[in-house]
Amino acid sequence: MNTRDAAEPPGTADLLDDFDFELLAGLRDVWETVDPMPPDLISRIQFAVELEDVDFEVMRVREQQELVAARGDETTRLITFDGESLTIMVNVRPNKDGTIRLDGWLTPPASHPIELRTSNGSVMTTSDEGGRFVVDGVPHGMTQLVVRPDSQRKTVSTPTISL
Amino acid sequence: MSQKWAQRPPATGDYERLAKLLGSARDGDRAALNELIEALTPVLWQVARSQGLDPERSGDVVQTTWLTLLGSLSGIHTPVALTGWLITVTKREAWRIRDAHRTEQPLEDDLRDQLPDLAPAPDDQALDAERRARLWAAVGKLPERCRKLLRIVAFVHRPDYSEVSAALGMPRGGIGPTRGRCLAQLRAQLSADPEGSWR
Repeated sequence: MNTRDAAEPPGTADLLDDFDFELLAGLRDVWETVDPMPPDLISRIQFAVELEDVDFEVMRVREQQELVAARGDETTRLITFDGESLTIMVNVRPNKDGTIRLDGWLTPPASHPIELRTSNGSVMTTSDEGGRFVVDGVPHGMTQLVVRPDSQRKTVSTPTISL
Repeated sequence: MSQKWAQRPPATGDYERLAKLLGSARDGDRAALNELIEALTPVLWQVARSQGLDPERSGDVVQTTWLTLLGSLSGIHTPVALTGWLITVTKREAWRIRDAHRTEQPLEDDLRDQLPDLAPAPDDQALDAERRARLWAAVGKLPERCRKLLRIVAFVHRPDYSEVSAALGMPRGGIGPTRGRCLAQLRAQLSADPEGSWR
């Protein structure tokens, strides 16, 4: 073992030669080609971190299901987000006018202020006592749901999803 | 040989740029945070994918990692620590998801044969496509440990290696010598290629 290499202080590049650097660049290129990032991943992340709140609970996508509606001519998506304090299920249905309708349920059910962030700005709504909320006329594109229960409890945010 | 394959700029330049961006991002500069996201998301994507998650869940995991960072940013003071933190959290998030979805396909099988399916390159990129295919074939002959290590190392700024070692569960400092051995094996594979020099 080479002790100089073991420390790897910033800027120590002397143990690799030009061919090694060329290989590392080539390897990066190969993996970017074989297994590319989704093209919108970086912009989705940048959209998500625009959130004003710094200290919030991050929800995770538990599952996404594609459902074919009864008439069979439209597909809806059912997305479940899990957080420590609550779960959000959202049914996403396309409207004929090119917009989207979201039907959501919070569990445990409660009336909370909800912000739906889109690339066209935010829509504010409130869930009813049963935890249900509806936002209609949502544009396609990036969307993030932010629930702000009350001053005693942390804000909860979903990741950005593309609708 | 195209410019893209040429040697990258010295790592110290990257390091100083990242350090500056990190300082600004900690002070609430969202443009700086956006630049960090651009610089470091590619390695996190490879980390998530090499844990065997599908592309959709890998994207979720990487995004969750960045959102989680917002609450921890004030305690992270160097790019090395930042990269280590991000890789560690990405791995942890990936395990968490993987445990919840035990039916995932092993990744290596998925990817091994994908290269021939790629869209044909325009003429001026034909050489790159051929070299890429030969490099990929050589990578396929390496031990799994080397494939996994090189996959991540190729996306990381060199000064971050010590922290990456820890994040990958290797002894601190162990990544340098291992990387050297894996690169040597890769060179041996390429020089055994009957189609001649890869360079």
